[in-house]
Amino acid sequence: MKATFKLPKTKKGWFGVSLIAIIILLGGWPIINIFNQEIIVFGLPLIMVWSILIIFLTTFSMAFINKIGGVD
Amino acid sequence: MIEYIPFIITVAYIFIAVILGFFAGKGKNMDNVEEWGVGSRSMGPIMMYLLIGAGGVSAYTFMGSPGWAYSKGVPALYVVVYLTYMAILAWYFGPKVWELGKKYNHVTQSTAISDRYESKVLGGIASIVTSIGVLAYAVIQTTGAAYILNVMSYGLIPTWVGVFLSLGAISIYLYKSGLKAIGVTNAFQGALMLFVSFFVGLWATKQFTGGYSFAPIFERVKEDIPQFLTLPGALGDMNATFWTTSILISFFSIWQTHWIQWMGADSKKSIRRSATLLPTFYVVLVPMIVVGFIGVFMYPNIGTPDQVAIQLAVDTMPAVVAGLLGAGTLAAAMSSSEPCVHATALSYSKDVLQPLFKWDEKTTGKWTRRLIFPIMAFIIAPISILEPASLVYILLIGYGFIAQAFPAIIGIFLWPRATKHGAFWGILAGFIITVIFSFVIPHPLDIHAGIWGLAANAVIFVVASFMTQPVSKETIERFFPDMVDELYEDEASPSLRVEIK
Repeated sequence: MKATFKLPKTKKGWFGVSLIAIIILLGGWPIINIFNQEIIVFGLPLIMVWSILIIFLTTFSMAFINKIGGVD
Repeated sequence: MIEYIPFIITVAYIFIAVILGFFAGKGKNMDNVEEWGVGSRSMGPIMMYLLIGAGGVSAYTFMGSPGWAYSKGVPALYVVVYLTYMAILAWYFGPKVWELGKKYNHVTQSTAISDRYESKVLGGIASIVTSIGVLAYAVIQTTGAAYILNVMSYGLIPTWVGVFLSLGAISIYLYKSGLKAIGVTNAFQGALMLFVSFFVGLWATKQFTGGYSFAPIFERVKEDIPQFLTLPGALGDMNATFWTTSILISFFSIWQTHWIQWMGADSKKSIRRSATLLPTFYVVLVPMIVVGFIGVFMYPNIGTPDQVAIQLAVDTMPAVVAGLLGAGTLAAAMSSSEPCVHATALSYSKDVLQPLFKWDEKTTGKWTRRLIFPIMAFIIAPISILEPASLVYILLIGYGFIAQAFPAIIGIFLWPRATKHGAFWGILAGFIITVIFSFVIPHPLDIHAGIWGLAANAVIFVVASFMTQPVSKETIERFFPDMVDELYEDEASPSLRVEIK
C-alpha cells in the first residue's frame, strides 16, 4: 500500500489551501509583530483592529472558496 | 427589593431556557441514539451558527476576556483570533465528518476512530481520555454559573445550591430533548450574549467617557499604561511566540462536542454555510474586552480580574442592565457546559459501554440519555462544589490531550497509511510531552506545551504507522473510495500480469 497523502486535485483546491494558510499566518508570528504597536486606529489599538479584520478576512476567504468550489 | 432585580432577571433566564429546551424535542422518541444524540440531523444553518457560536463562547471567555484585558491588556485578543480560526476547522472538517457519520452511522469522534483504525479499544480509550478535558471544562462552567447566581443573589444562594440549580435546569431539558434542546437553548443563549455584550460595552463606555466612542478609553490607556496596548502585555507573559502557539494549539483541538454538533446539521451545506459566517459571532467578545480596559481605571486594585465586568455592572449600571449581564454570563456558562454533559454521555454509552457489554442499539439508546444523571451527580457536581485549586491544571492537561487527537483525525480523512499503533503511540507521546512541558519545564522557548506535544505526536504517528500494518483494504475503500486505485496500484499489477500469462 502506498503512503500517499490526500491532497487537493485541482488548481482551485490548491488556491483554497493556500488562501487559508495565508489567513492563519496573518494572525501569528511574524506578521503580528507589524501590528504590535502603540498606535490607535479608528479609536482602537492597532492589534485589536487587526484581530477584528482577521475575523472578516477569514469569513470572506471561506465564502470566496465556497463560491469558486475550492474545497476538496 | 430593587437590589434583587438583577437576580430575578438571572433566574428568569433559567426558566426561559428550561421551557425552550423542554419543548424542543416534543413528539420525538428520545430513547433513540440518533434522535437524542444528534437530533436526527435536522438543524439548519442559522441554528448551527448560534449552536456552535454560543458553545464556543463560555463563561471562561465571557468573564475571562475582560479579566485578561484588565490584567494584561491586548493579549486578551488571542481568544478572538483562536475562536475565529476554529471556525476554519468546522468549515473544512465539519461537512466531511457529517457525510462519513451519515454514511456509516457514526455519532461520536471515538466511533469514527474505532471504525477507521479497526480498533474498538482505541475508540474506547479516546472516549475516556478526551472526556477528562471535556468534563473539566463542564466543571469550570458550572462553577462559573454558581458564582454568578451567588453574586446576583448577594450571597443568598451558596455555591452548592447554585451548582445544583444550574445542573438541575440543564438536566431537565437535556434529558427530555437531547441535542435539539442544546440547539434551541444555545440559539437563545447566543442571541442573548450578542445583545448583552454590545449593550453592556456601550453602556459602560457612555458611563466612563460620556459618549459611545472607544477612542477616549484607549487614548487614556496609551497615555497612562501603554504596556496594555501591545504584546507581551502588562504582565509581560505573552510575547508573539506564545500568542502564536496558543492560537495554534486551540486551532488544532477538535472537541468531541464540536464533532457531535456538526453531526446535528441537516446537510453538509448547512455546516459549511454556518461555519463560513461563524467568525462574525466572535465580535461579541470585543465590547467585553473594552469593559476590561475601563475596569483598569475604575477598579485599580480588584482581587480577581475575572470579576471586573460583573463588579462594574453591579456598581454602576441600572438593575435591569446588571441583571441582563448576569443572565448573559449564565447563558455563556450553561451553553458551554451542556454540550459537554451531552457529548460525554453519548460517547460513554456508544464507545465504552456498548462494546463492553455488547448492548444492542435499543439498550444503548435507553441508557444514553440516562447517563447524564450520574455524570452530573457523581462527577461534575461534587468537583464543582469542592472548587479544587488544581482544576486549571486538569483543564490544561485536558486541552493538551484534545489537540493530541488531531493527527489521528488527519488519519481518518487525509492519510490512509495511518495505523492504530501510530495513532495510539502518537497520542501517548504527545500527552506525556504536553504534561512535562506544562508542569515540569513550562513552555520551553515560549512555545505552548501542547505544540511541543503535537510535534512529538506527529513524528511518532508517522514513524509508528510506517512500522506497522495498515488497516484492511475494505476499510480503506470505505474511508478513501477515491484513492483506492492509486493506493493499491503496485499490488494490482502482479496479479494482472499473472492473468495475462
